[in-house]
Amino acid sequence: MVFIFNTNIPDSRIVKTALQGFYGIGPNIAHRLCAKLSIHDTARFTQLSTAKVTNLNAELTKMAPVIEMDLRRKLQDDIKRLRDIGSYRGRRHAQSLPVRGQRTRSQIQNARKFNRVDRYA
Amino acid sequence: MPPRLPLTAVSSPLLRPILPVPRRLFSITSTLLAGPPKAKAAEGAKKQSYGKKKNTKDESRKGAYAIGERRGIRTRIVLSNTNAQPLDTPPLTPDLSNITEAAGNLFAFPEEEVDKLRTLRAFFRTQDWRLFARPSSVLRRQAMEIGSTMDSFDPVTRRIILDGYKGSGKSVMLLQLMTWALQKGWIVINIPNAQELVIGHTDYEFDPASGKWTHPSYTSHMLTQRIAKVNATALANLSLTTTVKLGRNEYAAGTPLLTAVSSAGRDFAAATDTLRFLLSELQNNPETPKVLFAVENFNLFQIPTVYRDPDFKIIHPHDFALPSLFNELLRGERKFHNGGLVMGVTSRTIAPRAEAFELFLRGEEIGPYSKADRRIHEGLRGAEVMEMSGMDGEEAASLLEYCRDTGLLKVDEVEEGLIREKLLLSSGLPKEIVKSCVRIARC
Amino acid sequence: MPPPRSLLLLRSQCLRPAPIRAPLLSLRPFSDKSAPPQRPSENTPYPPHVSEEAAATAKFTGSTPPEIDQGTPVEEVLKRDPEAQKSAPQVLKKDLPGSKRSYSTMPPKGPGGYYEGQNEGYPEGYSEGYPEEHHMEANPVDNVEVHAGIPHGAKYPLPDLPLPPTARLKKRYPPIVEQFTNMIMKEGKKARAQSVMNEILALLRTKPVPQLNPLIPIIPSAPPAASLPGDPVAFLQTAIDSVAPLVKIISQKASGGFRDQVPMPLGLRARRRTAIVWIIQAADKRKAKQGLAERLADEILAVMEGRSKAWDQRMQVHRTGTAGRANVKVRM
Repeated sequence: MVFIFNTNIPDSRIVKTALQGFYGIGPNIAHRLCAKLSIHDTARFTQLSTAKVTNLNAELTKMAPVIEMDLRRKLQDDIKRLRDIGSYRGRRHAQSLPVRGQRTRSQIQNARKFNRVDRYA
Repeated sequence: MPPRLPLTAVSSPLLRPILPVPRRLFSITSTLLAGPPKAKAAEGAKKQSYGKKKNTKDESRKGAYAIGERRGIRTRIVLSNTNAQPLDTPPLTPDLSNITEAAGNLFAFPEEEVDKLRTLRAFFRTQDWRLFARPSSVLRRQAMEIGSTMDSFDPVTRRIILDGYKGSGKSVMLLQLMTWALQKGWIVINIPNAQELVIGHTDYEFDPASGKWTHPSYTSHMLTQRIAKVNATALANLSLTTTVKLGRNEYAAGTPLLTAVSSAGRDFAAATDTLRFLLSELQNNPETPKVLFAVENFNLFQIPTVYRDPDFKIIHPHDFALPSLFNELLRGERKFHNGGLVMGVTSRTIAPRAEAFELFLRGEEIGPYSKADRRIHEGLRGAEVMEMSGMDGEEAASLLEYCRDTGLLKVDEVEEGLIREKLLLSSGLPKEIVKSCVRIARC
Repeated sequence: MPPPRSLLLLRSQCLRPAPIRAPLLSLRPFSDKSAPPQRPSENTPYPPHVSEEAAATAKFTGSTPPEIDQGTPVEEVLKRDPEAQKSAPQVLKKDLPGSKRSYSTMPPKGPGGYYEGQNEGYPEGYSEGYPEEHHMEANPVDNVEVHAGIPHGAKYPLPDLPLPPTARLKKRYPPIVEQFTNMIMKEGKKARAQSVMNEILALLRTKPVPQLNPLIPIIPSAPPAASLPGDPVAFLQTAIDSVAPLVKIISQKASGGFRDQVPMPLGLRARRRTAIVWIIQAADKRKAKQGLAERLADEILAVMEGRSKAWDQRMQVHRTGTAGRANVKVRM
């Protein structure tokens, strides 16, 4: 287990794909992060030196405002703002209905599920 | 993707330091070959349960592959066949390189050298060794041409890029040259597949001192597992000309080179410096024997790597230490004190090749408006290009007779017509000739 | 050696013997269907043949009897009978002495006076340098002896006819290999199946000599086990043909709502097909940590050594077949 950014990751995971487990990090950011620390594509956490793991942790900490909790909070705040200014989009979020002008006759399951003011992710 | 470990099999993070001490490894393969990490839950750690369901899938996982098992199966090389007729093939001896009559005849690789060649990873799975009783090969005229210059007292390093179609016998010829080199007491260095260094499957690091990128674990593995093992005698006889500090240790002048290579090479961080030091010793020490340095799939050193620098720019292959050291040798900037052979082997078929490299092989210059990579072209300047041609009738006859004696080819007599037919159908490529004997016969 | 070309010019129908007709009597000598056919016995009196009758008459009268053994050729009859000559058909009239053909049977003259091919055997410049009277008389086409080996102008001799079945590209591989390849093919990827097949055969070369189990019936025509790794196609064929079942079991409606298990004999291809299916299934169940080719090669070896699950399936089918052989209905 490696403890990175408050998360335990199994040693055998490939670094590049494990990083994509963090909210806000996709393939591109993960690749750039790896490039920044000279971590090759198939590297596993077992193969990383202590220094690299520390550096990786530091990089993620530096990115904290744009990943994980802060990003989730930003998302919630944005939606809350929309609701507070009384916009149509804010209302649609509150009603769990499609926000961007889709039809509502059918196929709005995802909107029902995701569109809410206290949206988590 | 490796099988995900059951959660219960891993110890609690509380029982271990938060940042684990990383295991130092020699290669990308050893983690895989080491087998699965041992479950530590059994050692008395408190069993944790996550959620309601117990993970009962452990038993069904038995049939799955262990880590590294598949690679083991995939890379296993079989060099003999008990069903094949054992033959009295004369062994490949060093004096054959000067006997012109030997060309076009069949010779077996001696047992002793076979072990060393295995260590060097010079045999390939794609070669049809498993069909024959023991590894043997036909001595080609190109091998004779290079072999005849191997004994010259003139300390000249021959610098060759060997080009040829797939299955034309380039790697087998390299095997023959390596065998001769080993028999003559040369130092043999081999990079069995250049692809391993550019496709991002091994770790890389920037070395600010030399301004080059390095492959720490690969270089370390190469030094300790291949160079030190195969050339143990030759390296033990050489002593250091200067005192040198490699990694944390200092090696005084007069220490056997083998000690420096095998102990300093173990340290990842010092591995590239050690290799560089080894090459400079081979250049400066007058006692040094001749050296053979070969790279297979050399064309892979000419295409952009998949490695990225911190600015996310693609790293040029010549910015890596290993390829650039080899290129210095090819260009003649770096020499061996008593000469030797530097050889890059490149395939002409189904291989990624850079335009600049193509032009270089054809002996052409890059045009003023061309976008071809000038660095590649410049990096190889001075190397001799040799082409591996198809077999001639005599060589093909030897090969076909070998197939017949082994029991692959069901004919009584290898006749002129048969040889011509096989040569025509295979374009003279020995791999295809053997294939045509093995392939399903017409009913 | 092929026959001379002049014979080949004849259409094959001309050479075929005419079908022998049964005597008219045996076809429908009776009108009643139920009555048994009456075979003509030895003693049935028949009127003799016209020639025989004439010969018998000639015996009494002392005149020349007609040839009974070989018959009289029409030409002979025409020769001695001027009346018949008059009423003879046109075709026969042409052959009579004194009559003339309306066309020439002589070959047309080429630039050298002959067919180019007929200068063979004569010195060069024959047609120009030699005087006209030395020319041999041209043979009629029918009598020309065409050289049996290589025809003029051709590079290779004519093939021996009929062509062997292997001369066609479709029959390139041994049938068993072709069938096995097709059965390991998935999604129509034949090239891939073929490469797996090649790998299987190459692996069979490296397998140990199969240790035959005396309880397992290997087909009697199989080559000795020691020679099998050297001949992988024979290896494959022996394994498949040995484990192939003789019958298949079909379920047939019987009286009282029952279903009978009835054995049905299988042809060669179908037998092999069943065996291959079993072998592939057994190989897949093995869960060996190998590739497809390796697994199948191992299974084929297992079949030879009697370790394969395919043998159980074969015995099961044969047992059911033996038990159900009373159910076989033979329509008489």
